[in-house]
This record gives sequence, C-alpha cells and structure tokens, in this order.
Amino acid sequence: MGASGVSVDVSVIVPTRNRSALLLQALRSALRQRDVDGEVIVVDEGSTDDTPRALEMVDDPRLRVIRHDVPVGVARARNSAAEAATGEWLAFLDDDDLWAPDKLAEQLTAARSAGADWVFSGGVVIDENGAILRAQRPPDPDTTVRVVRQYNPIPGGASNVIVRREAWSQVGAFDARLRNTEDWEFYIRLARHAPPACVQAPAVARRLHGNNSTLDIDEIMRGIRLIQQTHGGTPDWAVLHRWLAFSCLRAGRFWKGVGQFARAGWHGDKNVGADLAWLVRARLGYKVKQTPAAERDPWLAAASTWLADALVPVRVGERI
Amino acid sequence: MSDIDVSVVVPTRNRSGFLRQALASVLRQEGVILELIVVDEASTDDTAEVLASIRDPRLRILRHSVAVGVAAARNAGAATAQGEWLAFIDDDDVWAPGKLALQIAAAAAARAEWVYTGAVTIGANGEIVYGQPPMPPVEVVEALPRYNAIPGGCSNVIVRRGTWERCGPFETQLRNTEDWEMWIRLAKTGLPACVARPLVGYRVHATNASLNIEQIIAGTHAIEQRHHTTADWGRLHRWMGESCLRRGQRKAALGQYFKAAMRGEVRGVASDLWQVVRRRAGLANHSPVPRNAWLDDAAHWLREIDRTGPASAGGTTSPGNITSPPLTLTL
Repeated sequence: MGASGVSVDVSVIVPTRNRSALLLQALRSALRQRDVDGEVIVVDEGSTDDTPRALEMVDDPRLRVIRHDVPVGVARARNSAAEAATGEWLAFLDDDDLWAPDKLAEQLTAARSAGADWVFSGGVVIDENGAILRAQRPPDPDTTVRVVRQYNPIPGGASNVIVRREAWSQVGAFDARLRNTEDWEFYIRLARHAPPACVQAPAVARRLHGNNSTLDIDEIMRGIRLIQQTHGGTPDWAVLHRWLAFSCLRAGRFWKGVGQFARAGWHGDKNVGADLAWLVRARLGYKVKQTPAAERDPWLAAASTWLADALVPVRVGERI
Repeated sequence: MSDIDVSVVVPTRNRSGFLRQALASVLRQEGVILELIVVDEASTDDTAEVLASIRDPRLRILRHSVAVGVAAARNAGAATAQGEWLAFIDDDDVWAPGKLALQIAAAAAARAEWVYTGAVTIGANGEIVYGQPPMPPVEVVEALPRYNAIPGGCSNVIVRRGTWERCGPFETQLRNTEDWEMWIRLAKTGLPACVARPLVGYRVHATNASLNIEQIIAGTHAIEQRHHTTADWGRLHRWMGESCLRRGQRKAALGQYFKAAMRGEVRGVASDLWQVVRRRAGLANHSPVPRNAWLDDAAHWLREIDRTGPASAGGTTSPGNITSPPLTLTL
C-alpha cells in the first residue's frame, strides 16, 4: 500500500481480542499490500493482553485503532469500524488470518473489470504451524449466487470478500444476532444485490488453532435456521454437517464430530467413507492434511510461497 | 435478545467538562433500561480520565485513535447498539430526567417509529437563553423539507433501531446539517410522535462545532438536490446571522441578515436588529427570557442538572458570549 491520501481505495477492518502475536502477523499482511492505497482500522474488543501496546508500537500512519472498552461481538465490532471507514472499498481480515501481498490489488482489478460490487478469492486453511491443511479453490460467480442460500461456498471465513462501501450501505451490515455464520448471511444479501467477481489465486490463509472462536454447535444450528427463516432456501445439510464435523474434530470433540459425519451421511454426503478414514487417521495421531503436496500443485505452490513470508513471527515493537 | 430499551450514543471530543454533565443527565434517566455508548473522538484532554471515573456498568466506550467526524462517530456508536430505541446526545447538551421514558410512552401511544420533544437553548452555565414549544408532528413533517423544524440539534430525536437500520445512518459528507437531513429521511417513514415539554437543554457556547457558513450552505444545497426540495433560505440566513452575532462576528452577521432580508425575511430581520439596537442602547431587560409556564418546566429540571456538578473546568468556555441575550430564532 502507498501512503493514504484524502480518500483511499480500501479500508481494511480487523476486529481483534487478546491475540497480539497473531494480530501483528495479520496486520503486516494487510499493511504490505502492493499497489493499493489503504487504511487499516483495528477494532480492539477490550483486549486485556498487550494488544494496546502492540498497536501503539506499530508506527504507520495508515493504521487507526478503535478501542471498545467492553467487547460487543465481532459483527458489531466490524460494523462500527465500517461506519468510520473512508475507503471506496471495505475489506475484512480476522486477527488470526493472513493475506497474500497482492490480494487487494488483484481483487480490485477483477471487480473493476467485471463491474462487480463485491469480489472474493481462493483460500487455504493452515494449522497453527502454518502448514497447509486444505486448498479451497473459489467457486465461480454463477455457482456462488446459485448455492449461497444452501451453504457458504466462499472460502476464508470473513477474511476474504471485499465490498464497495456504497453496496455495503445498501445491503446492510453484518447481522449481530449471528455468531460464526454472520459472514455467510452477509454473502446471501450481497449475492441478491449483485453477482460477485472472483480471483482464482489462493489469496487468503485461514488459520485453525486452539483458540478459534469457541465452537458452539447449537449456536451455529440456531444461526442456520435463522438464515433459512430470513432468506428462504433449503440448507444443504450434507455440506453443513460435514463442515460442522470438521469443526468438531478441530476443537478436539471427536465423538461430536463422528455424530456430525453421521448426519452428513444421512443427508447424502458422498465423502463419508473418505472422511471416516481421515477420522481414524486423526485418532491414531496422523495429521489431517486434505491436500496434495504443494510441489505437485502450482496453485498451492503459489500459496506456500507467500505464506513463507507472512508466517515469519513478529515481536511487539518490531517494525512491520 | 437484549432487554435494553434505549441505546444512547454520545460522540465527544475534548470537552470533558460539559461531557460529565451530559453523561450524568443520561445516567439519571428514569424508567428506562439503557446502555450509554460514548464515542471518544481521539480526545487529548482529560476525557479518558473523566470516563474512567464514571463507574457505571451501563457505560461503554469506543475510542477512535483518529477523529472521524461527528456523523461517522455517531454511526460507529449506533452500529454497536443493542437497544430497541436509539438516542443521540451531543457532549455539550443535557436531558431532563424523564426525557427518554416520556418519548417512548408517546411513541407507543402514537405507534410512531420516531419521537421528538421540545428543547431550550442554554448557555455555558445552564441558564436558559431561548425556548419555544415544538411544532406538532404534522407541521414538522410538512416543514422539514424547507428547514430543520426540530429543535435541539442532534440531542432530541429518538428512533426505533429497526427503522434506523433501514433509513440510517447519518450522511457523513454533511457538516452541521447531517441531523436535518436525517430527520427528512425519517419523516418519509411516517409521522413522528411528540412530547411537547422542554426535555432537552441545547447548549450554545464559544466552542460549539464551529459555524462554517460555507459548509452549511453547501450542505443545504446537497439536501435540496438529494430530496428534491427548496430550502427556506431566508430563515437559514437569518439563523446564520444570529449565530454569527452570538460569536461576535458582526460583519458576517450583517451580511447574513442582508441575505435573509433579500430572501423575504424583512420583518424577522428588522425585529432581530431592533433587539440588537435595544440591547446596545441598554434598553433591553437583562433577565434574558420572559418567563412562561413552559420555560419554567425547563428551568425546574435544569436547576437539578446544575446541582449535579459544574460543567466548567476544562477551560471550554470563554466569557463574554455567554450572557448575550436571546434572539428569537431557530433554524
């Protein structure tokens, strides 16, 4: 990014809470975006660790901080920052995720050439050591619009999509009633507003670690039903339960995961056999790595190249 | 869902003295469950300490490391609100203790999505400078496209949060006129309810958001374009003339009064100028406002506000313009 002028291309909104080490990595990946004028708005949700100090030490005029003394939840945190944003586009980045250095520039190019109001890219899922666990190639824009009410086809959680601020005002903010599913609900409204553009490259890395927002299956099921009530459509339970199954495994809740796989199978999920094999392997202590080796896949190789830089640890006070 | 009745959003910047009074008047609201969201716009005075000294679980603080402007600050606060109703109060204004409860009751009775009340203009020390009962809802809605018929700046209206989410937020491109533009949009959703009592103390003092005439004129043009209306320029210029006078900018005031007269406000301008002449000649009574029962209502609760603590400190006021007698105008 260059120095920010009067009005910037992109406002990057980063909600955070008590994750200073990961946050600094995320911020570095946002502040090092190439060929984009941007501002980064960190919303500190009442952190009690050294996050305030870490943010003060980041010496960059493009960084602004909004501090909530009491946490209000990630949806409201993002919404409040969006109201204070000045960029033509809004981007969101969770404090534990990472971006490729060309993410915003490529998304802007794709959106502008397609005349789109919102755009997403491909992504990878990484573990706490930065090893790639899954490759998530992006669905094409038509498919996205078609299936988005059945399940969330967009990789990278909330850290992927960028949206024109004007469209954001029309479509409305994140629904603060939802936890974990607020990004999906937002994409449903975006898809109804206009078709997206898409960047093929794996430009987002979503990190799975012990501290991912606590997995609350009941809460997610409540969210799915609320989304269904609001927007109609039939949830694709096979996909959703499979996603929940992996979430359970990740959270170390093996038997819950088995239950979710069973439900996915009941709803016609074709991957159950393979998944169970993964389960057994995971139970035996092998790594659950659902990707081919990067060296045999150029798409993935691109991700591992930028990830190597993005994952270099940052200490508080270090220049980023 | 939350059981909060009202979320109160207070944008503030370097006005800790007045802020303390504003917040006290919010936290003393009777008969409502509220949350108070202060948006501190990168204050460099002792605002942070003042806020820290208020130990009330209903208070939440958003601190912006860089100021984004009052409209965006209000929007940011509103984006975190959880209450059924949304209220705004500026950091230098004060509320009567029953303000929110009375407005909610009036809205329920009228099945209205938004409510306004009466306001009195007060000086730095809480003394009443001017006040007049508000116009009834039908007249307000009819007048809004031409001028801001709702007194009390942004510290008056409360709106159901669902309605706000549909027709908000404040237009951040506008300065000084963003409240008026918002009321025009709200008026399109339906008739407001009204509490005719004076429940807002709207403060005029030396550090009021600086009067930028060009910005107000540009804002009015923007509103005319956006809402396909014609503003009442005579009234607008007269109001700006009065505001200039209050700040001691006599030449600018004269210019505004001249423009107002050219726009047909001849009698109003003449009456204003006659007041000025009388005052300068020492003929004007120094007890500023002729009292009536409506103003006494305001005076009664304003005395209580004064007792809760002085607004002063912080050096936010300069003496001199405080005692300037009333000019019977509102925009």
